[in-house]
Amino acid sequence: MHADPKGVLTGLHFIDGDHAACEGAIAAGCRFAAGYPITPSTEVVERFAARIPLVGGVFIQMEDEIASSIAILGAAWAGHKVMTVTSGPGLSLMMEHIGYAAMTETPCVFVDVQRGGPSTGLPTLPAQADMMQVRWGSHGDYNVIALSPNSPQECFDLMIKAFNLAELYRTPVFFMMDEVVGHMTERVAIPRPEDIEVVPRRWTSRKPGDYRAYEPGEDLVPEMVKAGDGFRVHITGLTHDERGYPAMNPQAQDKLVRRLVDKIRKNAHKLVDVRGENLEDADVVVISYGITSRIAAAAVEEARAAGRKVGHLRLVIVWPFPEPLVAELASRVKAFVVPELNLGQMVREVERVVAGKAQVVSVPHAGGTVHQVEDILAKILEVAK
Amino acid sequence: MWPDTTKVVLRQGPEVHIRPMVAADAEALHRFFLALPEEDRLFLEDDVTKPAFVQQLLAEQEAGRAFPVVAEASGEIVGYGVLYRPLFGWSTHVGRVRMAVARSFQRQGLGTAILRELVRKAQGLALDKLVAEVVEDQVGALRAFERLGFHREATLGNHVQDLSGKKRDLVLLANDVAHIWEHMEALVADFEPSAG
Amino acid sequence: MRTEIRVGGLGGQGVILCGMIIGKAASIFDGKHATLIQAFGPEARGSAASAQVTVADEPIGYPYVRRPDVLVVMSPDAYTTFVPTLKEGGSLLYESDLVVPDKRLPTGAKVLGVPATRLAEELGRRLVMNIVMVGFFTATTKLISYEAARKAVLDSVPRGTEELNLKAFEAGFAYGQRLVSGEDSRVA
Repeated sequence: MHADPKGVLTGLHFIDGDHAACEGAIAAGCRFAAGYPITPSTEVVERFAARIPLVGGVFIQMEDEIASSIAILGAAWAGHKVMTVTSGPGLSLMMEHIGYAAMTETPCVFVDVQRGGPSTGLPTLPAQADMMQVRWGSHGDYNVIALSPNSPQECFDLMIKAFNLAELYRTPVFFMMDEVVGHMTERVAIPRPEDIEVVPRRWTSRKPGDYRAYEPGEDLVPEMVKAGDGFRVHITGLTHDERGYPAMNPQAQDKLVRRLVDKIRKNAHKLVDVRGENLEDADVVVISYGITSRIAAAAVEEARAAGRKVGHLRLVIVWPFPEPLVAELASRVKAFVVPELNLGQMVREVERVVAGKAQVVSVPHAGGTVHQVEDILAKILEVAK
Repeated sequence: MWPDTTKVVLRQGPEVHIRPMVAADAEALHRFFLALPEEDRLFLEDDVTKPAFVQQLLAEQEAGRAFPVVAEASGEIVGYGVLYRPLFGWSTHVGRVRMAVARSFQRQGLGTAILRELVRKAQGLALDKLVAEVVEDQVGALRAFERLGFHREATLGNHVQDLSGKKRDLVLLANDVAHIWEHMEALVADFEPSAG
Repeated sequence: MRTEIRVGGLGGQGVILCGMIIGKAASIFDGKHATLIQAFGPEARGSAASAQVTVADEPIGYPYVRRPDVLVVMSPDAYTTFVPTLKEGGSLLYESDLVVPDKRLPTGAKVLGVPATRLAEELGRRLVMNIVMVGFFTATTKLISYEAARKAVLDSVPRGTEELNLKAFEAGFAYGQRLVSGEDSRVA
């Protein structure tokens, strides 16, 4: 399905990541957002608030992030593509409703423009410190999809992908930006609406009476309805059966929660989005994501110029983590180098999947600025001897 | 004036072009003034029927004190406007606008279009304020000015007299054209408004 | 080919707008790649602001400017802060009524000054001073084309201010052209 022309500013723009992300959301069909201003994400919703009434949508500034995260879920059940936008401290507040979104299988996008933490931290400076929180932050077992753009252009392109994935899997999807990508200004090319592929909501073809809110399809994803269509639907955060009614027993729990986790896990092979360079003959592979990938790319280039066989694997979809790909690499490379703007988060996934078959070296950073190319290069040269 | 000529499509009738006046327009502009009905002419300050008026206009243009424009349709002048701006004194930041439109072209938005060009010129000259004087029952003119952001600043009671001796109020309209520079000021401010 | 540009000055001088226009000219109208990163002064106007612009023929990886090839400074503080980072043989573009280049300049540096504030005031608004700098930058570095720079100015200033801003651009450009062609030795 093509994008709605009303929302697409086709052409070349020189804008920053926050603004590009807003345009991506509108182009993807997002017509409702709720949020609470927090640096460095505020520009996303400021632009959305100014643009969306002209396109035919609504933005509400809620009283806090807790309210924002639940407001979007209501709007989703009214039939809209929705998002909220925040940073680390806000994401922490949203955790209960992230769990609710996962449990009720509500399609939605959470944008996290990461900044230095913990707590109030460094509001105006970057970090990649919410990567584990976004996966495990809410209570209970569930699974998420998370993307990590590294340029304003990707903030546009991948937002569309984020919204599409939210619809395909009826799940909250996380857009993990950071302060640098959010406030960096570059050329963003916005295509014509007919060149933008958007995935519509998976509306049921069943009639009222035949529809089961949580009866999964073959891909483990149930079809959806919206309020006002005449379906009798019960949506609850309590463990529920396929009709959506509470079913508080271990069998229902097992069936439901396993499916929620498997929904992503069993479809993980369809959820691989990486950019690999020079992986075929690599001795050492650098695994990176987000803004760090741009610094890492410069380090990899210098290492290769110095004669080392170094490859670069950039994760665009960070969750689900691309286990088979990394496991395959682990069987033939000597070492992985994992630079992150945190003190070691995604490196734990690498360590887990590599399972000792190769060396795994973290290049941590407490946040506040990006790595120096030399720091990543030094670690690469250490293991690529 | 940038762009130099503006094409205006009115609600009905032929295409009109608005452009800066040149010396060669003197005769045609004089004809335009002569063709204005007497009541309309009286609402203008000077005796525009005198050839000297047009010459004076060109002289002021040369001196950089006036920026006259003419509206042309099918080779005839059907409207005129002028932005006056003093080069000396305590109001060098204030411009004055005047204009007139031929009867057959009135009520079609031409006055507004001419005025729009004068406002743009004023902004290009970095003027802060524009004023215009309009007789209180010139409803069409008042509307055109208000549409372009002019507000009533002062009223001079019984200040103008028409052909029959009836006195009317003169309304002084003003436009703070400098407000566009607020946007520019915000752009060059270069400071983070808040961080929280 | 990768060129690093740092623009520095005080908040209120339009440092970031200047960097934005240069980046826009390069990436939207000249078909190159450009990245802009800005640093605001922490308080209100009067504190230091700077913009880092990287212009390249290939996609830009590392987005920061560490050793600029071109340093544009509009205040003495910006000069002091950034002159140690200017590459040898690089270019210093400076506001000649506010900044005095001295021996802290690296060897081989090209030094080009323009009284941008004065030129802007002559046009009627001192806050178009940064647009004068853009014109001056265009003429002296030739990193962006005249056409692209002009279009970028038009695309970046508020409605109603285009005419004056274009005049400011032309004034800076003409000044820069005279400077580099040696026509006006008085302004060297």
